[in-house]
Amino acid sequence: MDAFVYLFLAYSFIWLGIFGFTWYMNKKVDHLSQEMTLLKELIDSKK
Amino acid sequence: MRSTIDKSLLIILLIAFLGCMFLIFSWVPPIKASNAAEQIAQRIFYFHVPSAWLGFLAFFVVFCSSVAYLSTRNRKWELISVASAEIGVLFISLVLITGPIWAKPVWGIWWTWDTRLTSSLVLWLIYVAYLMLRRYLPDGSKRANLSAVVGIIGFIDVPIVYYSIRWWETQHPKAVMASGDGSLAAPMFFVFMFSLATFTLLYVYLMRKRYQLLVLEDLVNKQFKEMEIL
Repeated sequence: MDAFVYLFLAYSFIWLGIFGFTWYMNKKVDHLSQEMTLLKELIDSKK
Repeated sequence: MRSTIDKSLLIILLIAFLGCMFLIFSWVPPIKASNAAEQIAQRIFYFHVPSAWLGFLAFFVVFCSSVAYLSTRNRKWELISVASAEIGVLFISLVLITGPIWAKPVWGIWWTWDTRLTSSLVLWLIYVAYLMLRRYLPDGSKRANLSAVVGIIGFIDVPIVYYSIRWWETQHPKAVMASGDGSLAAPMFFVFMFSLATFTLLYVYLMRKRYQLLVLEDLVNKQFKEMEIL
C-alpha cells in the first residue's frame, strides 16, 4: 500500500475512534437521562 | 438549549475535520526531505503537535480545577478536573501513537529514551495513575482530596516536557512555532492553525459531554440512594 494512502487511512481511523467515543458518550447521556426520569417517577410514586 | 449547542458544535466539528483532512492531504505542499517517506510522515505534524498542545491545556485545566476544589470543596471542580484528565490522557495517547509513526521513517527507530519522549511518557503515566486512583478509591472527600493533590503535583511535568528540547540535547525536532524565526512556511502555518482550532473545538465538545455525563451519573447515584431510604 502506498505510504500516503496508509497515512490517510491511519488519520481517518484515529478520527473515527474519536467520533466513536463522542457517539458513545452521547448514547450514555441519553441513557442516563432516561434512567433519571424513571427514577424520579418511581420516587414520586413512593412518596 | 444545551442540546442545540452540542449539535451545532458537532456539525462544526465534522466540517472542520473534513476540512483538516483536505488541507493536510491535498492542499498543503510537501516539505523538502531526503526521502518520500519522510515527506509523507511530516504530515503527522498537523496532528501530533495540536494533540500535544491540547493535552497540556487539558492538564492545565486539571491543575486549576484541582486548586479550585481544594480551596472551595465544590464538587463541580472535582468533576471538571476528572473530565479534563480523561481527555488529556486521550490526547497524550495520540501524541505517543503519532510520534513513533513519524519517528520510524525519519529516525529509523520507533522509540528512543530521549528526554522529550521519556518525559511525555511519564506525563501520560502520571495522569493514568490519577484516573486509576479515582477508580479504585471509594467515592468521598478522601478520593477528591488525593486526586486533587495528584492533579496539582502531576502538572509539574508539563513544563518539563515543554522545555525538555531547550534544557537538554534531544533527538526531537526543535519547536518551530515557539522559535519565532518564521521557519514555518505560510501554507503550513495556516494548516497548522486550522488543525489546532479543530482540536480545540474537539476539546471543548468532549469536555462539555464528559462533564454532562459525570453530573448525570452523580444525579442518578443520588436518586438511587433516595430510593434506598424510601
